[in-house]
Amino acid sequence: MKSLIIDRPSKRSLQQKYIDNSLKVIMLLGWLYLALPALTFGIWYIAYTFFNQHLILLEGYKEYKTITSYWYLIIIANMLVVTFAWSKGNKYFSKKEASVHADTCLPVRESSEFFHVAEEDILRYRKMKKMTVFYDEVGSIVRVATP
Amino acid sequence: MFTEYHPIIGAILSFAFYYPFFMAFFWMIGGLYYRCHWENITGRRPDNPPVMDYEPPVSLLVPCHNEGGNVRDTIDFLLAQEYSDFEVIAINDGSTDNTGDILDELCDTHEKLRVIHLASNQGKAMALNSAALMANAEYLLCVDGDALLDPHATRWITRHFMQSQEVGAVTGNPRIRNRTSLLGKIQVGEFSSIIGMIKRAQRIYGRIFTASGVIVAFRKTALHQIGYWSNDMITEDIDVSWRLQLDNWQIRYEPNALCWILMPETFRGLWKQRIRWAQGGAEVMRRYFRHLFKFQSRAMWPIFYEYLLSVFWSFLMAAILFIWIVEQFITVPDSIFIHSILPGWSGVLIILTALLQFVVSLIIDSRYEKDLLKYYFWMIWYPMFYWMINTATMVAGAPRALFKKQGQRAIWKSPDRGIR
Repeated sequence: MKSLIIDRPSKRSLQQKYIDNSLKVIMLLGWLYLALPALTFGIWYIAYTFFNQHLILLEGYKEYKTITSYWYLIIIANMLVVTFAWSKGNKYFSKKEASVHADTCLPVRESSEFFHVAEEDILRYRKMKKMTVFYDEVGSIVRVATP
Repeated sequence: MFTEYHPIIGAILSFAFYYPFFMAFFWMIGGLYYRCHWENITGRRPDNPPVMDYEPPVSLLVPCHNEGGNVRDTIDFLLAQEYSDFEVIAINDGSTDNTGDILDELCDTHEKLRVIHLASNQGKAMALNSAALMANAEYLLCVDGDALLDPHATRWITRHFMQSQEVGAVTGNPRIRNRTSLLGKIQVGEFSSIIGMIKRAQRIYGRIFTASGVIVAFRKTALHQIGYWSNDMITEDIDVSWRLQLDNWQIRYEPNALCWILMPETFRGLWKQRIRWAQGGAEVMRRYFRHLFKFQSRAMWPIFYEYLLSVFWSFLMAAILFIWIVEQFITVPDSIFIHSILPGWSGVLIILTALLQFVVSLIIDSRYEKDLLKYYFWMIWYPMFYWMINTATMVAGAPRALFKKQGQRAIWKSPDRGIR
């Protein structure tokens, strides 16, 4: 039986097709662009409803106030005072410990001893613009070459 | 609170509430104090650093592994530093892409660029150790192979070394570049509110948990005294930060030293990154646990306890969630029965506190980036989504660190760099 419903997009004029398809693309892009902000608005709304229900309607703020009126502030203040005092005290007492740190510029000799590379080699490497470094299996430098 | 529970269970549940609540206020006050005191002292914007009488030579180190898509920009930004005396050392750590060719090509055209090719992949720590040996300068500024360093950053950072002989390292202010996805947008807020604010607060109480490896400068003498970077730690930056501070070197935070970085924008990439961070923190705790009982290490105690409490809190939240799931299927004793995991008044209060923390931190950081406050809109996702991820990664990452075989070399894995 011939369908009573007539739905033949292919019969549209070129102008109609162009307008329809353009609108589809715009709607799709609009949806893609707005979906995340809309969802995020939704999350804000849920957060608001939780706030309204638990802190306002169920009077959660009273319980909060009972505790906070005194103890929260005292504890936070104490945490801060103790930590700042701790920090200042350490800074004062660590001056002597810190003074053992040597003045600037690490001598090449010390790098040489640490990396087991000859001083003259280090000085030569430091003048090179490009180099390739080879290591052994434990990670010690065995050879430095110019590519 | 939680009076219907057994006293011990009640105390544990109270901790689950009080810990994030108090710490948020603690960080906010610390961050505000730092902002009002230290960031106001110079009164200058990031693009207007104070002029120094003497600019010491600086070596800018950039370790690269398969960074062919990024390294050209990174090097261009390094070479554009507004600083009188510097060299750039790029370390190509056994890349299998065209990183080496790009670096060689750049090296031929730029006088200040030097290139070190490591014959095989040795890991970031070894790459940095090699560069430290080859570097001509006493001060080493390290950035990642995909990071863009602000032209004024070197000057902002170097002045700290000139101010005090006690300064062993200075870390900068990483800013996120990729913000296409929701994950990217949330991380913009996270880097201000959690990472930036905590660093500020930690500076106030004397020690920093980690000098972010993505932008950090070192005094070579300090590095030498502690034996440079460890090549068996998954997060070499946390490790080196702890060793420097245990050796009484100071680490400073310089928020004006901006560095534009790429972050993961997929769940998989984010999960891997956070697991690495969690594992890295736990590895450091495992290694230096004994040192922390010494009186000489007392300055580290606050960040040590802060870390332990955060681990305990993560496991506690995971346990609460586990009990709640179990009680959906079987009957559990009343003393541990969790009525709901949806927030009651206490949960709402914690979320409100977190949202307050985001506002405060974004206002503090607005000084360094215009229009930052618009990202506040996206931060509503953070309490429900990121807290879960961070808790889960801590629970999954910490045991990995505890049971990891010690001495195993950590090598590179290319991370997710987001949508570009």
